[in-house]
Amino acid sequence: MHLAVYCPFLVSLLLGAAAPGLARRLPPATAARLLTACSVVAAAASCAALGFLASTVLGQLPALAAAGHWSAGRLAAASPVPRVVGLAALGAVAVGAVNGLWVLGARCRAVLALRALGRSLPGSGQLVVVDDDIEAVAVPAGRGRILASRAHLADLPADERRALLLHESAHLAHRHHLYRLAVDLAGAVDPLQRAVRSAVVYATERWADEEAAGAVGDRAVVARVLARSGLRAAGAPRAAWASLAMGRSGSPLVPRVRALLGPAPRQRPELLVAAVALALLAVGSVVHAQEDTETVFEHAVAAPHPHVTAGPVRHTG
Amino acid sequence: MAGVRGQRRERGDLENEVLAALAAAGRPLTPGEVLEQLDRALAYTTVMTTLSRLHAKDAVTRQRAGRAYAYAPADTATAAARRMRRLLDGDADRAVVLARFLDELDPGDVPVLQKLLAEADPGAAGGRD
Repeated sequence: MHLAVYCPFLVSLLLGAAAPGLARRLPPATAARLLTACSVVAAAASCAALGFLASTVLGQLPALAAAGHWSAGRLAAASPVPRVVGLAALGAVAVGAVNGLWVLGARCRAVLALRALGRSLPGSGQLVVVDDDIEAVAVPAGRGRILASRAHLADLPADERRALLLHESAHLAHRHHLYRLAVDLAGAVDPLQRAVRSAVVYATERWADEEAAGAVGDRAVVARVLARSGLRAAGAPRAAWASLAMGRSGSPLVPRVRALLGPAPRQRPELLVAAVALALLAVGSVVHAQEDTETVFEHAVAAPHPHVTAGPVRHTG
Repeated sequence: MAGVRGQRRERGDLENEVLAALAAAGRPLTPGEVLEQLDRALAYTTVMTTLSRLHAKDAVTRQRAGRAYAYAPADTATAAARRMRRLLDGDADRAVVLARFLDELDPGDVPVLQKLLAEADPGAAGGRD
């Protein structure tokens, strides 16, 4: 309880710090899967650790102590968690829960709105060409639809047009929105790892880039369509362009183009092992912290007298 | 199972490509003209069947042009585009779910992108249009 219970927070911090580098160095599909899994595990571990810390304060409430048949005073004495830490954890649990529910509700509404949009699209093909000059976008509704602007398509050579559509269909085929939603929710309850979110967005974009490149058979074609579309968007008269972007959490275009012009990414087992070890550390410390918490409560239950004696925790057999 | 899904996806990708070529052309095209527009090694019959599938899905309309049909994209989804734009402009929630082709662009990126484009396209430096 002294150290293990704080480990998950360290893991979340480290994961957040390492995520951008992992997203750039690992093959993108690996990076997206690994980071999403680690992010969810780390968030769950952090929540559990906060719960353990908060329980040492909550357990001292007379009503809870009576219900659980332990002594509030003995719990306070037996707990190795400083009261202020327990209170802070309690606050963090409350904030995390409210924020998590808020984000969950907002994302559910967004998914429903997109489903409604998907149903309103004409025809039953995947691609819908529109005259509005929006950027190409993959709509994960039903089997998935792609919206692309006629003007944008007309500005591209045939091979680049194909690359753009393959990129969007890769997003849909691999259900990239689920990865994004998962890390988004994980980040909402565990703000220490917020940077993972943009790293996963970047990894899913790179994943779609590389998959399109594989299908076209030339990575430079995808680099060209990204650069050309970016320049086209930058030159567009729409002042609102910037507000359309995903904001600071978006995926930068220039590194994507550079990555496609560089050598194809290769597996890096050492990075994979390091990230998995980090996730296992979080899980292991949660298990350990849970045992410690149980021990603390057992001490509080095994009170021979309601009398409180402050002092170090001793196993009383 | 994965093979079937892979095939369906390949077919879908081809449909997208053909429809995009029709939209980019801005006028009805015969299957032969579509094949020219696609600019890669595909069989004429492949293009034909793809156009038929698109027609069955109400994604294209066709009219007689001599012995063949000429195909054009079905009416563009103006209302859908407007709703899409509202969703995108609306808030960041949707942005998480939507994968946009371009996510973020800084004005400072423009010269870098120009350089990279020239690098990626040595044959046609300076742009193609």
